[in-house]
Amino acid sequence: MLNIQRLGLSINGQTLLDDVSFTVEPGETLCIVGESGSGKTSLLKSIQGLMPAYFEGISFQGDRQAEIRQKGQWRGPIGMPGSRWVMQDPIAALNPKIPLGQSISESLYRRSMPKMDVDAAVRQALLDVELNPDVATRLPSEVSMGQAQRACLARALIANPSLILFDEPLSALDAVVQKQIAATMKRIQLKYEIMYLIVTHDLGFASAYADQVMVLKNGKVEANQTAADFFHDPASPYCRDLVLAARALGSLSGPAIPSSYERGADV
Amino acid sequence: MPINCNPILTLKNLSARIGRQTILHSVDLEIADGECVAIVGGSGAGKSTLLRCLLGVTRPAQPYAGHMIFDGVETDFTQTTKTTKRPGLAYVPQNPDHGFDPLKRLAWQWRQGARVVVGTSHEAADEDKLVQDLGLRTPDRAFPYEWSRGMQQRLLVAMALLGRPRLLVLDEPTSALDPIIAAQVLETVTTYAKSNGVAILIVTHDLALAVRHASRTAIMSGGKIHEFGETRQLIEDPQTPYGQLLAANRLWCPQGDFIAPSMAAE
Repeated sequence: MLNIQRLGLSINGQTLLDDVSFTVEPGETLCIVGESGSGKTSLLKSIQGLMPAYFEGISFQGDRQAEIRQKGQWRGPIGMPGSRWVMQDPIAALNPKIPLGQSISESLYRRSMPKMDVDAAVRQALLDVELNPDVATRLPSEVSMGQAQRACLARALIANPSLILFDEPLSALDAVVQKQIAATMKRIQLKYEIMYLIVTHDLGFASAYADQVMVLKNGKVEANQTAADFFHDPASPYCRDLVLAARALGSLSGPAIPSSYERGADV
Repeated sequence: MPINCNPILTLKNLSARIGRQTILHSVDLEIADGECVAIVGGSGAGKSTLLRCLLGVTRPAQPYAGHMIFDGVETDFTQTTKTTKRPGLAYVPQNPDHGFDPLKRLAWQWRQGARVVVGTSHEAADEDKLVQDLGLRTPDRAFPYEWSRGMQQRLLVAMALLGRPRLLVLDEPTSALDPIIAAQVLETVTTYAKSNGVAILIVTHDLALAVRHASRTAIMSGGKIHEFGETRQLIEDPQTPYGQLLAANRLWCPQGDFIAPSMAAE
């Protein structure tokens, strides 16, 4: 379980995140939605420990770090073991000069594992993300975007994480490949009971895969609802605008919210 | 949707290659006056190459066959080798970062745009009206980054519309913007186009977007147009395997699996 209480982040006097709290249970997906500059990526970065943030409390997998991390002190990197990161652009995330298999296995060598075990683990990770194990010998430039993103997922998976942070994992891919990889992500989550934190712009994706939806606006939590609640009864006018916009773009269908809302539709 | 009989753009048998590799295989396309048409296809389908050929950009892909009639002017692709101007055709890039010089003030870039497309015969009042129609203020001394991305994108659309084009080409109009802004931009642009009789060509990988806005849709993969017809009919009864794949996976299904894995798209 990941529980974060009152996370805040400010850089050079500018507040990027303010009073963000949420809980994710094992095997659950939290989708983080919001406009550009609303602090979605900063939130992921501060959870991963790449940006210094303030906490009132944080507990991750029963490891209560709340005592050490008291309010008002500079925290430094949290660096949660057992969390991994999958980025938006798979080609930029992979080293172009080394084969995919080596990129995937890199984190294992730090644990001084014998080579045979490493190879078996890479093979298993590639099978989990539904890639042919033969792609381990290829360079990122020799595979498609979709395959590269699967390799990034395998790289995250090989460390047996209990939490994976996704920063717009599908937005670099085309519509059909998006759906294939989303289905793979779901199967992996069911198999290993991993928590997913997914930053996304695509409410259609969120409506299909999220258990919880958190909306950020200007660094504050605008809404934090279960997905069913969010799409049927958005908590605020801004959330309603988001849902209506997704419908106007065609990525979300059906009468998802009561028609009484529609009169104010200005998108 | 009524297809009136005078097409603004007719493209016949266009083929193009980069080096020895053929990128486009005899592509046919027709856009009626004031119509909204979408081209849908995955990565590497040849969408951008097709656009570049329409716009008269012959690098890196070199068209070698086919001809095109745009706004009454015929272009023969077998003969034209150098880049040609197409005054009635306007293009809005996918990402506002590709459209503006980040180091020049918006007012200056706006003037440049106006000078190139309209020559000397434009009036300031027309420009102001255009900008207001798109819900913007007249560009001032601000730099591009001082405006939101949605405003930048709309200003690019305004610059494209300055020359009173007959056809507006939108390349992936939603992918660089977040949903609220994307919906606003698209809605404003399509409304403006409808009231002024401008035809729109949307290039996207998302069939759902085409369903929402286009009256006719072309489905493209591997450099060929597989299907071209009325959007409604196309999603209800797609004829080709790729069309069926796209139509089946048009929307996200709840906790759903990928539909029809019979044809691997990767």
